[in-house]
Formats: sequence, structure tokens, C-alpha cells
Amino acid sequence: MKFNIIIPTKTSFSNFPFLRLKRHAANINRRLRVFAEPLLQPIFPTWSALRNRARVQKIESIGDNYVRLCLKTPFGWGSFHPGQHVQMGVVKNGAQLLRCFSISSSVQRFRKERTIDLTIQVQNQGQVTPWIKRFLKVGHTVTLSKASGDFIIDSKRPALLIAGGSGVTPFHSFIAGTPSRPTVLLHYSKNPSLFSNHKHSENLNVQRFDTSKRGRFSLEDLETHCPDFRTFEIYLCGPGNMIEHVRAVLLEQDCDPKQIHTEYFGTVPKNDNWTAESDGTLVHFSKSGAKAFGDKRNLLELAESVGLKPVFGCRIGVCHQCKCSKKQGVVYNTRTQQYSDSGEEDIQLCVSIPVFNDVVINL
Amino acid sequence: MKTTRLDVQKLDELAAELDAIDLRIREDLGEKDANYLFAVVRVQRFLSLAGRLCIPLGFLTPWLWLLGVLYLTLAKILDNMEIGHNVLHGQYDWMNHSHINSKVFDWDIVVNVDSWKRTHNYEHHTYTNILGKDRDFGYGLLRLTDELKWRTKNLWQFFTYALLSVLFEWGIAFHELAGERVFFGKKKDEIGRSEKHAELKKSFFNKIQKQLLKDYVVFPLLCWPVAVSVFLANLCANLLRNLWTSTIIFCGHFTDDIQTFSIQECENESKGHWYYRQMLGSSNFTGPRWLHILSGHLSYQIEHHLFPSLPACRYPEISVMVEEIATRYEIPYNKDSFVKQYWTVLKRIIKYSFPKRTTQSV
Ligand SMILES: Cc1cc2nc3c(=O)[nH]c(=O)nc-3n(C[C@H](O)[C@H](O)[C@H](O)COP(=O)(O)OP(=O)(O)OC[C@H]3O[C@@H](n4cnc5c(N)ncnc54)[C@H](O)[C@@H]3O)c2cc1C
Ligand code: FES
Repeated sequence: MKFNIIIPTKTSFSNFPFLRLKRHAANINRRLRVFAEPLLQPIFPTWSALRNRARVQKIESIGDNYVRLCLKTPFGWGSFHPGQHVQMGVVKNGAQLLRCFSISSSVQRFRKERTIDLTIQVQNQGQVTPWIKRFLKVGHTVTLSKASGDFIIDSKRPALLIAGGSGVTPFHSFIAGTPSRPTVLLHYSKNPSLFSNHKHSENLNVQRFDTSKRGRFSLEDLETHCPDFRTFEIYLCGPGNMIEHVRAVLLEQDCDPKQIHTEYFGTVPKNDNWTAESDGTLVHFSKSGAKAFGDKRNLLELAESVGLKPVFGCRIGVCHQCKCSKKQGVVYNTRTQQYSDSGEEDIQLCVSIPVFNDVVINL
Repeated sequence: MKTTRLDVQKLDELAAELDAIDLRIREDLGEKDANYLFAVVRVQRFLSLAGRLCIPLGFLTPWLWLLGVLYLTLAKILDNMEIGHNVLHGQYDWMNHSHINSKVFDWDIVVNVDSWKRTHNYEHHTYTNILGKDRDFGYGLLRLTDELKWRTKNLWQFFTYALLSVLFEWGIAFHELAGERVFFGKKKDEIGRSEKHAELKKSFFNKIQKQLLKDYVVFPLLCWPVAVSVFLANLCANLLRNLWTSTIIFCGHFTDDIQTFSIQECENESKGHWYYRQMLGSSNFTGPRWLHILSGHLSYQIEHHLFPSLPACRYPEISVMVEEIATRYEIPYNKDSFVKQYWTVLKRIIKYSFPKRTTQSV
């Protein structure tokens, strides 16, 4: 005798009429908002159908190279944990450009005033950050995603925070909230004095190092300022090469990889574990008809090298803006360090390196 | 009637010149284009709202009902042509807008967008007017060239055309499934096909259900005492929009001088030949600005086929350059007034209703 065992899957649950009703309601709500947006926006400039908008309340220059924005978040924006980032979008020449920035103000202040700070380093060649410095004014609106990211600084254990350059921003959010456990911040930057006016408290030990005078992070700094680092949760944030360097030192000192948390602000160092025949893989961009041969570059760079201009944001696999459909071929994801299927699926161009078969991208 | 075909070198030169135009316009895209699109969307919303409000007030005076239908029709035409068609081509994707982009936009007709993107954006725009590959050429219903075999049903194809025009959105919605022979015709038994068919059918019916519910159930019920008049108004608006869209499309594709290509001619074709084929396979019509806007700038069908992903509001300025190039390369540039172009469409439909007459030698 045969039994047919029916295992209820997620989809079969969603077939219950009342659940479908909820989905329909969400759908109708969305459509109404999309319909109303062009009519309501002239009257309520901070309202938007799908993306949250925030008003710029204050702009402050810090040195030549940094801008601090204070943003009034809209109702229903949600909250955040110290260490998390948002995607902020500005409209530059008709196009919405979204970039990742960490929140640098405290949760307490957010609860009181609904405002957050972003501390932005101006990248000389960048598309967005120089524009922000020149053209963004108090009273303008920007789009603001909800806070996200699993780089969350846990206040239940002593924390060692090591930052390079602008990588200090997520830590400022944490120390501004007056930590209740011992916290050590080591900050390496070219002009560390810019950020020296933080709030002092008894648990907090902040050390700023001027890299133009005394070089980079070393084990000595660690032993002088945080000798018990093996019992701390350790957070690293900054450019990729700095993070790799510090992490190597820590691992050599018998730190547990699980106690080290990282957030990359720049390119993630390329991992050469994979040995695929990437060179010479034909990449075909099907919409435009352009073709390129794979080298070790990712698909975003390859596409740009043949004159295409796909949308991007972070270029390191965080924001998902460069998502695009791959019709066929195998790519290697440098972030998850996994090979893809050879069939059709959505991939992030900026972290995908074409590896074998002809790779066809819908671009 | 076929023009002499260009040689390889000429075609390469042609490609280089057209590529240069594409690049120049792309670099120049910006706030102006974004603002234009937002303005059109805003007008569309106003018209739609005004229409939906006027129609139920039709019990005061029928004129209000008529005005409402007019507004709603215009709103639906804008949504379908200048906004929907162009956005779904990805023309405004560089704006990175949250919902006005080719990935998530949905339009107010019964056509499922994904299906349309496959058949129209891919098939029709890649294989334009290649007989046997571009199913948009005559939609498998009309015989518009002697290269296709004559069948008895072609005798009454003028009425088929009239019917297709009125039900145009349904024809387009059904296009992919018809080609795949999902509901009737030869059954192809290949592995994985039936699953794919099930998917196709599901999304086809989903979209239809949504549209029918909206226009013929929800809106009438919301205006309960005058439900019937709202129902009829929505029906009229949809049919009028169909008629309009169909007429515009036919004027761009099936005028008298439009040429067709064989599969062999286009095997391994160069970019230049592709451009060349697009120019011979489309036609433009002239008229006042509002006519261009209501046609979604498909009045510049030649430019649209050359540069399907450039914002349509740029076609007028591009057409000046393209026409100049066409003159230099001695490629026919098919342009005439709306009325004249439409007249040749009607003639063409009639002409090919009948079997090929054996040509008499002089
Ligand atoms: C999770 C996360 C959190 C972040 N938090 C912060 C933060 O709090 N504060 C902060 O300042 N930054 C932060 N960053 C980094 C920030 O997102 C980038 O600095 C920002 O995206 C730069 O945007 P852009 O448009 O100015 O530069 P892009 O145009 O995106 O360029 C990126 C980089 O490429 C370089 N580049 C671009 N074009 C060229 C060219 N033609 N030749 C040479 N170089 C070129 C630029 O100099 C720049 O460094 C964060 C990043 C991530 C992923
Ligand atoms: S650009 Fe952000 S994920 Fe690729």
C-alpha cells in the first residue's frame, strides 16, 4: 500500500484565502501609493510611494574632506542598531544615485528627535560624494532606506573597535550612546583630530593615531591600550587592506575568528582561492549586443569597459543595485565565495566574476 | 519592390555613424528627460482621476459621462504608449527610479509585462520583419506580403484586422501563448515544456483577472447606483484605447513600402545590416506635437527601431540626423502624414487579401 504524504510547503500555506487577502491588500495599497505619488509630491515633498525620504536638517563640513549630514527621518522609518548602515539617495541630473553610509549618531538621540547623522568622506573621483559636498543644502530631501546590515555592535560584552579612516563612523554611533561595558576604540587616520570631540565616559578609551606620522596598526598598540583583547568582541571597519592586515595580526595572536566582525568600506580584497579558467571566458551582454572577454575583473567592471553603464551603488555586494539577470554561464561570487548555477538567475554584477561557459548577461 | 542592398563596408560606416548618435544622446540624458517623463505621468494621473470622477456623475448630464470617457481614454493611452511602452523598453532605467523602471512597472492593459518583454522587446525588436522569426509581422493573422502563402482566410482579413484593432490588447496578451501553441494547434511534447506552459498560463490569467476585476467589477461596484454606466464607460475607454494603439502600430509597421527579410539574408548579420533592416522595416508619420505624445513617439518608428532604449522624447531631434544619414546612404526614409500612412496600411491589407497575381512581362 502506498501513502501519499503531503508536506505543507510555504506556498501551500499562502493559498489560504485570508493570507491571500492580506497580500492583495498590500498590493492595492502599493498601487494606490504609486498612483498618488505624482499628485501628492508637489504638496508633500517628503512623501514618496516606495522609498522613504528624509529632510536635510543640518550640514557641517569637517576639515576639507568630510561632510556631516543631519537627517530628519520620516515617520515609520523604523529604528537601527549602532553599526548599521543606510542607503542614501540623491537625484543628480535626473538620476537617483544611492550610496551606503553608516549611521554615526546615537540611538538615544534618534529616539528623542528622530534624527540621524551620516559622516561622509568625499571621494575625489566619486560620482556622489563630491556632489553632496557642493550641491546638497539644508531643506533638500534625500531618499533613505531603512537601516540594515549585520555589523551590529553588541553592548553586552566588552568591545574593541578598530577603524581606518572614515571607517570610524559606525563606531561613533556606538560610543555616542555611552557604552555600559569597557570599550576601546583605536582609530587610524590621516587627520585624526577632526573627530576628537566625542563624548567622554568612564568605560571608554579612545585612541586616535595619525597614520601620516607613525604608520599603521601594530600589535604594540593593541598590547598598550587593550591588553585583554582576547576576551573582547572585536569589530573592524575601514578599507579592505587595513581590515585584512589587522585580522591577520589578531588571528596570529590566537583570537577566535568568531569574535572578529568586519565591515568593508572599500573593495573587498580579491580572494584567489578559485582556480577557474576565467581568462578568456566570453561574456555576452545580450541587450546591447556587446561582448567582452573575462579576465579577473568582475562583471560590473567588464560591462563598464565595453561602454555600458549599469546602475551600481556600493560596488562591493552590499546594496544589490547592480542586480541583473544572468541567462546562462557560471560565475564566481567573490563575496559568498561560491560558484553559481549555469542556468538563469539574478546575480550582483559587482561581485561576480565570469568563470566558465559563455556567460550571457541581460544588459 | 526592393531597394538595392548596401555592401559590407557601407554597412559598417552606417553602423559607426548611428552608434555615434546613440552615444551622444546617451551622454546628454539628464534632468530634462526625467522632468518630461514626470510631467507626462502627472498629466496621466490627473486625466485618470478626472475621468473616474466624471463618469459616475454622468447621471447629471450625459455630457459629463462622455467627458469622463474621453479623459479616461486619454489617460489609458498615455499609460500604454508614452509611459508604459517606453518605460518597459528600459528607456528611463538610467534614472534608477523606484517604480518607473522596466523591472517593476506594470501597465493598465491586460498584457502581462514579462510576456510582452519577451515577445516584443526581444523577438520583435531583434528579428524585425524577418519572415518566420518576427511573429509581429501580421501577427500570424494577416498576410501582408507575397512571400507568405495565400490562404482562404486571407480573403476576409480586412475584417480580421478590424476585429484585431478593437481587441488589440487581447491579441497582444495572447501573442506568446498563441506562438507556443498552448491552447490549440500542434502540440509539441518536449521535456519541461508543459511546466513552462503552466507558468505562462498562470501569469496570463493573473493579469487578465486583475484588469477585469478592476475595470468591470470594483470600479462599477464602488459607484453602485450607476454601476452599469461605469461599466460601459470603462469598456468604451478600453476599446477606444485599443483602436488607437493598433492604428499607431500599424502605421509604423505595415505601410506600403515596408520591406521584409528572409532568414538567410540575416544569418550572422552585422550591426550595420541590423540598423539597415530596422530602417527599411519601419515608417514614420508627421503631425502636431500632441499626436506624437499620444502615439508614445511611435510616430518616429524608424528612430524607435534604431534606438529602442533611448528615451522616446528624444526621437524628434534624432530623426533629423537619421534622415540626413538616410539621404546620404540612399536608404529610403519612409515618412508621410498620419492620414496618408494609414491609407497605405488599409490598401496593403486589402491588396494581400488576394493571391499573388502573376506579373506580366513588359
Ligand atoms: C556598508 C558600508 C558603509 C559605509 N559607510 C560609510 C560612511 O559612513 N562614510 C563614508 O564616508 N563612506 C562610507 N562607505 C563608503 C561609501 O559608500 C563610498 O565612499 C561611496 O559609495 C562613494 O560614493 P561616490 O559616488 O562618491 O563614489 P563612486 O562613484 O561610487 O566611486 C567609488 C570609488 O571609486 C573611485 N573612482 C570612481 N571613478 C573613478 C575613476 N574614474 N578613476 C579613479 N577612481 C575612481 C572613487 O574615488 C571612489 O573611491 C560605506 C560603504 C559601505 C559598503
Ligand atoms: S553595486 Fe552594490 S551590490 Fe553591486
